[in-house]
Amino acid sequence: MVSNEILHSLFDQYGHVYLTIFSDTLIIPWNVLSIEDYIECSRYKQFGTMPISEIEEYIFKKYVLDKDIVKVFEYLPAGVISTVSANIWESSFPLSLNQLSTDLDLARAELVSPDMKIYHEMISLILQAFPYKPEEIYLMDYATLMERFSQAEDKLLRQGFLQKPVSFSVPKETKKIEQMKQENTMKAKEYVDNIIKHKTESKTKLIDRDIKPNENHIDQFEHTKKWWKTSPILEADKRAKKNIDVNAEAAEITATAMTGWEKEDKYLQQSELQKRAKVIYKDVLQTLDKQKKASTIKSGK
Amino acid sequence: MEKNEQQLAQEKAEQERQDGLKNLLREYQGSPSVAQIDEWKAVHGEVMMSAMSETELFIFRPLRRFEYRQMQEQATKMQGEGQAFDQGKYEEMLCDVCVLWKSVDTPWEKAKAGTLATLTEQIHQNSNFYSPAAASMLVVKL
Repeated sequence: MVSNEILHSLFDQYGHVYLTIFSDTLIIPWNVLSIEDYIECSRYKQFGTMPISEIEEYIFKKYVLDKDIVKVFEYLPAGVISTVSANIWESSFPLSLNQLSTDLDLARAELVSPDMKIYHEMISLILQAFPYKPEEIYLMDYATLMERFSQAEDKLLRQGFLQKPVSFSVPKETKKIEQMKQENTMKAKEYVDNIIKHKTESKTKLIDRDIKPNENHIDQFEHTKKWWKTSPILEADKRAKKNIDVNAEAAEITATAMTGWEKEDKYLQQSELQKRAKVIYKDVLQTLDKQKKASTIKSGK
Repeated sequence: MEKNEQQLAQEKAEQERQDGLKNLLREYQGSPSVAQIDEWKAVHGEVMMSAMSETELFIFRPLRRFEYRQMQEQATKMQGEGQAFDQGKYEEMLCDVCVLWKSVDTPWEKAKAGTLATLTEQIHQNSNFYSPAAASMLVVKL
């Protein structure tokens, strides 16, 4: 495990770079490939015009920052050069199209983000007017940036590339949206205030009226309790206040469900089913009979 | 800088381990002396020992970059001349370069089938050849 002191000293020496750490005594600082070198090395790899070991050594000698290590690279363990070159290669360009798409989305996000957009637009305008490189503009201070920006604006206006001077004010559409948001917030606040006021008033009224419970109101809990105590089949009869004619209902179903020979065999099947049911559900039928007798006795009272 | 107790204990343990290995080597006929091993360390930096069985001991060193390139050039040359150069040939060449001493004095072609392949893998690992996944684990961004 490399100590923080070593890392800090390397940072002080090289800045924001990558490290490949083999051991405490072998730490290789490096930077990523330029796009030019990446494309060139890709070409060599693809067409086999240069041995892989030579490509690795080229990358190692050019992009490893510790030149003392580079001087003695031939005497280092053979895998150091291969491993560091592989690290440099992987960090220089995405290895898959998915990664490339993700990186592009991140770069786009910076261009359109409200905080960063204005810097990139200013730089873009200066680049349109003058043959600067972006890196040169990044090195400018604020006063120089504004001077170049105004010069670029003037040049582009004269040449007709700009129709009117640049304005840094908030666009009208954004203003309108902001205004609408504020109005909606006010309306929502009023609405909530009204509800609270109404509720407060209603509460006061209830307390004043001293409401008593309605005696005729059926207690749902009691009704449920009663339902669980007795047979649901028999209770259903009482609640409906009419006898359910099972035979009539069955006849209705069979009339539509059964065809010619099924109708003929219906009675045989029914009696067979009843016989079997009596055996299987003997205990259930006995319990139902007992309950029926008990409820008959109660109602008789 | 004064060494703390932990460092001293580690050094002592390492020394004991080294002494144990040197004592082990003495049991093998024709084994290198301590002075010879120290000389190899001075020349090659690191010296490793691999024991594949009780009778098969190998002392080897890491492969250097210039040797690796020379082997690649030789392989390319042989292929250009129409000679066969395959993985077996590479393993033999590598072990000829890196193995400093072996306890069993038999030619490579008469050794057990996996000896060369295993030694090659051990030499590669100790020469800092890593798989892509392992290599990416070594990277830190400052």
